[in-house]
Amino acid sequence: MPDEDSLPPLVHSPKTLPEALALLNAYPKAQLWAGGTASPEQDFGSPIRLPTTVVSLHLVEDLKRVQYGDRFVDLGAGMTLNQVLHVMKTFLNPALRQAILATGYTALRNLATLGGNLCQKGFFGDLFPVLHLIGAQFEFRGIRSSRWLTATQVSDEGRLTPLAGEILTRVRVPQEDWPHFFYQKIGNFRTPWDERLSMTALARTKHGLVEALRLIFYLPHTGLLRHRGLEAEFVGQRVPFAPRLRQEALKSIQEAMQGLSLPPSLFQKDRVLHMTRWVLSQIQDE
Amino acid sequence: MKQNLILNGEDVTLEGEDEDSLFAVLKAETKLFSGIICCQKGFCGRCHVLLDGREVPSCLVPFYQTRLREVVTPEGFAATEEHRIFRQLLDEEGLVYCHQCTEAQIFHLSAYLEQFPAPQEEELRTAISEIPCRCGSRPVLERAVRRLVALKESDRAGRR
Repeated sequence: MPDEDSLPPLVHSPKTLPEALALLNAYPKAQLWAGGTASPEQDFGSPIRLPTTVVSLHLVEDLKRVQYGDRFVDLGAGMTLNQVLHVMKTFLNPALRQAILATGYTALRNLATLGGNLCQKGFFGDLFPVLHLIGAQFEFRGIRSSRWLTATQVSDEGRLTPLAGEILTRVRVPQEDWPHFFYQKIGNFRTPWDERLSMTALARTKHGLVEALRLIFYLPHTGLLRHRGLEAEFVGQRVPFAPRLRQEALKSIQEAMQGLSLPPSLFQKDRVLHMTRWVLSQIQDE
Repeated sequence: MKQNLILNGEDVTLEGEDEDSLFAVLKAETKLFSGIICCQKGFCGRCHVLLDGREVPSCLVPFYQTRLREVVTPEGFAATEEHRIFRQLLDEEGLVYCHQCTEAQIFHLSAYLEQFPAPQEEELRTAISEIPCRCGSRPVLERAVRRLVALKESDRAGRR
């Protein structure tokens, strides 16, 4: 009997979501294929590596829909990153826009999908930390089930992976005004893990006082670093922040890094402190 | 597996495996991309095609996904009026042509402007930097692209 790996891949290309879910149910070992850009680290000159059984989502229009609610937008997980940029031109949170623009390059973003970026194996893609900060929710559908997870529930699990037989179908992005936004990414997938990180910060001020401030770092091998206690301490503070307040914030961030289960590298620690200092110095009244 | 698609405006039937890349099939089955060495990882920008009007790295597109879809390669684009105009602007700006990246740049930037017709200055610079190039031709490209953007804008205004 031939080895399973030596057989040509079995590719299914469903046209609807129920069809895709039925296929996943019928072939429990099948793997989903979206844009196919998540791991271009294949050997030089080799064919694309398809799994043994593939459920390809490129024809599933149900996954490319956008729905507008009063205070949110639902994005189909099968939308390409450039489609998200286009569709949400007027609605897109500016930090999310920057994160998308920092992901790959134009031609790659015409293939890469929102769902693909979020469901990479073993770690979060570029967009999850931003979605976490703006309070996005994620819908997973199975053949007979549907569930929504908040970004916090997802980050507790450590990664955004559908259960067997499930597909990430929609991402609900709340529409809130964040006049102050910062996004910075250091390194890409060719950079060593301990030299990569991203930072997102959002803030809102009124009459010289902070209404809300959110700050998150993503250290790929360590995880997400978000200090909600620190965020709460800034609410009601006057901007620009007093030097003593900024110093205390840096100290808190430093302590939070020490509390992580996997310690950040020296480089990451240094960048986290540097970026925190910079963000806090930039927030002024509108 | 044989598969029908529209290639540079013509209905064609090409043969390849599901997991072959579109680039590999085009190279093996047609005379397109002859002499082009691609990184096969989506980095080099030399294998880009338009797939249903959107620029993609053909080395990352599995052949099975192109069934009945429309593919335009840089060779197909080179026969268009748009290409002629862009090339003329590049000539006027004094671009020295390189075998490695010039055609890939023309193809990429034309596709980019089709998708994002009114880019901001920063976005345009980023778009120009997306095709790896060691020729030092970026300032020339930038001038030519700016003129192309202005030309397209006045064209659109004329139509309104």
